[in-house]
Formats: sequence, C-alpha cells, structure tokens
Amino acid sequence: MHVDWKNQEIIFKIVYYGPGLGGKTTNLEYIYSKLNPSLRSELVSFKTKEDRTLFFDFLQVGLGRINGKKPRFHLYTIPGQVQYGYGRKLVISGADAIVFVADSQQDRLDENIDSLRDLQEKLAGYRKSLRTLPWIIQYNKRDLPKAAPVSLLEKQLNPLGVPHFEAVATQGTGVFETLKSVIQIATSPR
Amino acid sequence: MLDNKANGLGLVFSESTYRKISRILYELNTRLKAKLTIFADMNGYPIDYSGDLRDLNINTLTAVAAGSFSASNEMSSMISGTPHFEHVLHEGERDNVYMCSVGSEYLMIVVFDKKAPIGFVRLLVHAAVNKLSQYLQALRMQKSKASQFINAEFRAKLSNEMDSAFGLS
Repeated sequence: MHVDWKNQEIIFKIVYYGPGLGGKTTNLEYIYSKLNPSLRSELVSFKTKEDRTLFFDFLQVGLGRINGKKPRFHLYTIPGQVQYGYGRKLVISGADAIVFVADSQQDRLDENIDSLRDLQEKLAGYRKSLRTLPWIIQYNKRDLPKAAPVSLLEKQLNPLGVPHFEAVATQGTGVFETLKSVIQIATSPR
Repeated sequence: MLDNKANGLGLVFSESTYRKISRILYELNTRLKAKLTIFADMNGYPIDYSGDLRDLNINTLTAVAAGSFSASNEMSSMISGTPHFEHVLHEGERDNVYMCSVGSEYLMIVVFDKKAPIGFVRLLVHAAVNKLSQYLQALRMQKSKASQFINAEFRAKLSNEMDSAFGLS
C-alpha cells in the first residue's frame, strides 16, 4: 500500500498470478472493456509477438473519494510461461494481495500446482508466504467440457481454504466478483 | 525531526518532508529544462513529480518505468551477480529518459529533451539524489503509517463504491 500525498490517493497493488494461458490477461481485458473509462487507465501490455505476456500487464482502477482519500488499485498480471520466472519475481514485489487464476481443466491440474509452488517460492524470496499474504483463487474456464469439479480443485489447490470464485473470464462471469473480493482482503487489517 | 501535521482523520503525515521533496524536484526539473521529473517507489508508486504531465497517466508511466528499471537490475544480476545498475538511459527520437536509483527503495525518473547534454543531466540528477537521501527515513516512517487510513467506515464505503462501479449492486 502506498499513499500519494500530492493527489491524496491510497494505492494498492494486486497481482493476478497463475499458469500460462489460464486467463489472467483476459481478466484485466474484461475489466478494462467494461469499466467506465473515467474509473480506469489504459491497459498496458508487454506481449511477445505470439500475444503472450512477456513481462506484465498493468491496469489502474480508481474509485470515488472516500473520507477525503481516493482509493486506487494497480492490477498487474505476471507472465505465466515457465521461462519468465525473473519477471514474476519482480512483479509480485510489494503486492498487497494476489488472485491465483487457476485453469479449471483436468489436464491443467499439474500446471496449476506447479504455478502455486512457484508463487510460494517467489514469495519466500521476499520473506512472505501464502499464510501471511492475502490471496484468493479464481477457478477460470468453468464453461469448458474438461473442467474438473470445484471440489477436486479445492482439495488440490486450496488447502488453506482461502475464498474462491468460479469464472468464465472470456464472458466476464465472476471477474468483478473476484476483483471486489481481492480488494476487500487487500484492504482488511492484518 | 519530522514536522507532523494532523489531517481531518486525526492521522499524521509530514507536509514538511513532502514540501522539501517537491522543492528538490522542482529545482531539478527547472534547471534541466526537463519535461518531467518523477520521484517514485521501486514498486512503481509515484511519490511526487514536477513538470508537465500532458495527457500522461503518471501511475501507469511510473509502473512501467519501475518495471523497466527492475528488469535492468535483473540483467545486471545475471551478468555480474549483483543487481547494481544505478542508472539507466533510454534514448528516444525526441526525448530521453534517465532513471537513477535513490537508495535501494526509490527511483528518480527524468524525461528530457534529446538535445540536453547527458553529462549535465547526470550531474544534476545525482546532486538531487544526494539531497533526497536525507528524507528517505522519513518516507519509510510515513509508509508504515499508511494503513491507519483504512478503517471499518472506509471499507464499508469502498464496498458500496465497488458495487456501483462494478455493476454488482
């Protein structure tokens, strides 16, 4: 969290983490497309020529003044591809909360588990952990025929019992519910 | 010693420190005839700036600049084993961007005309960085107090704002 004294803004950093092609960028694209332009910045993306995230995507969401302060939320995605580990480590630095975007498909379960382990490792580099940093899970791609039951995903990915949301990010289902929840945990007392 | 002043919420922050930082940025930006000078947190948060933003979103620009600086330091780590690129220069067609670390947690970003001599820019930026260094401890203390702005009333109003903005009500 950061206070911008000049503009009287309170800014939080929220990072969308998860395996490659899980739908992190799609979440931000949907938020960008549906939110009133006066409440958000342009969506900045560092992409490869294959349209995959190279470094991060960035979108600022701002809400109205509350008690004299303007809350602002900096939404980042990480590059999900395994080889961009350095980028993931940089992006989660200073995060106030994390959304882990899991791919619900049965055959992506191992990638989800690997990505969660990778997140734990990256957090450990900053002397943080999934027990100390607020986070939630979004089970994305619930519309696909190979989507695993949520009960199975919960068992494999959510032993700590953090809040979870079912989503179809391409259609916007669950996207804003996820965003509201992660903002609530980011702004909750620890 | 910090010159703290209570704001409307009974919370404290240092206007004096903030004014001194603003003055340093203003002087640097004016002497360099730079377009924009930003003092930022390494996590990509702008602390203050001087100059003309035009249509730029300072939060987006700072987030991208901090990301770029961090990536350069990662490159330094790979090459030499230490994340120690203290300054980075991007040369553009019309404007250059000079970035310089201020301690390990803060960053100076200067956008200036390509015609300005780079040696002169470096000299003045480093002088400003030395001046800013004395305020870093005060900034760290303010950062630790930031969470006091968030109380139950703030969270309740925030929830209502989100319902309205996100179409969840």
